[in-house]
Amino acid sequence: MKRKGSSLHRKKGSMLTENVIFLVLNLTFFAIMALFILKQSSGSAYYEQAYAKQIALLIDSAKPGTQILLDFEKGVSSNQEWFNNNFQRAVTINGNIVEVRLSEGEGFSYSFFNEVKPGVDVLPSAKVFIVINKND
Amino acid sequence: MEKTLSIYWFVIIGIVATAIIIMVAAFYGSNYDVRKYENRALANHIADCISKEGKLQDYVYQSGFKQEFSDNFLEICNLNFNVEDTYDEEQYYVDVDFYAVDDSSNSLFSVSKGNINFRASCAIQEDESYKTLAQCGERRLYSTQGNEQFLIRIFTAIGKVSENVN
Repeated sequence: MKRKGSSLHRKKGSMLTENVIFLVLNLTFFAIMALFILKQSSGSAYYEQAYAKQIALLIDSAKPGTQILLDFEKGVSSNQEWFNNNFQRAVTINGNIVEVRLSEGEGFSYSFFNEVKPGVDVLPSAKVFIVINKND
Repeated sequence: MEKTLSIYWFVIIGIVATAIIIMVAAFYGSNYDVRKYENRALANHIADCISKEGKLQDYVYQSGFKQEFSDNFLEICNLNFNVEDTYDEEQYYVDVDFYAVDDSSNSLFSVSKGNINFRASCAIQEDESYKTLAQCGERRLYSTQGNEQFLIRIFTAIGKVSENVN
């Protein structure tokens, strides 16, 4: 009788271990997936495109003399160290093309049709100041 | 241990993980199409250039429509249709038609600039929109000059497919 009892205990114990391992594996899987989604959603490429298009559309709608202040904090947070060292080249405007770069990649470029001369100043606090000047 | 190490379990986990990775990459990796807003901004910009406080500008009409306005439309309206080097041809098209207010079928004066091929893209999309073609927009406004009243139709089209569509 004693033997039967201990075998039942052993079976119950192994079932518990089995379920714990199953649970841990499930949790690990979902944690990895959640981290992957989080990393993707805060990636530089995603914000580079958003900011470049936002700036181009703002310039298109702006009249000379307009001043625009943008906050890049959300997009910068994924690559703060790179931004701290390169904030001055995060936003550049060549002719009528806006280029936004938040990491050591190609960045994202988008053109605007409004024939103006925008001046850009990127601050270390991730604020971008744009002044729309009349084209001479 | 049978349950945890079961081959079927790993297969299911693999399928779920692959599906999540594909969906997330497709969502965050895709371009957002802003051409609708760009078309609207372009039409507003042209409307502001042509008419001020409901009156046609002197450089557009002065006892008759001015050909000089049509010839120098981009300069007068402060428009720059240059685009990124990735494109070989212009990515904008603008067509402005002026009608008498009581006859909207015969255009009195017309100005068109940019890539005329986009006109065909817009004609194709009258019933159904195709993302890989140029996106089009239209705006109508009324304006006066002296005793004359005009209906102005501004038609715009923007290509820029590679930056707005995957």
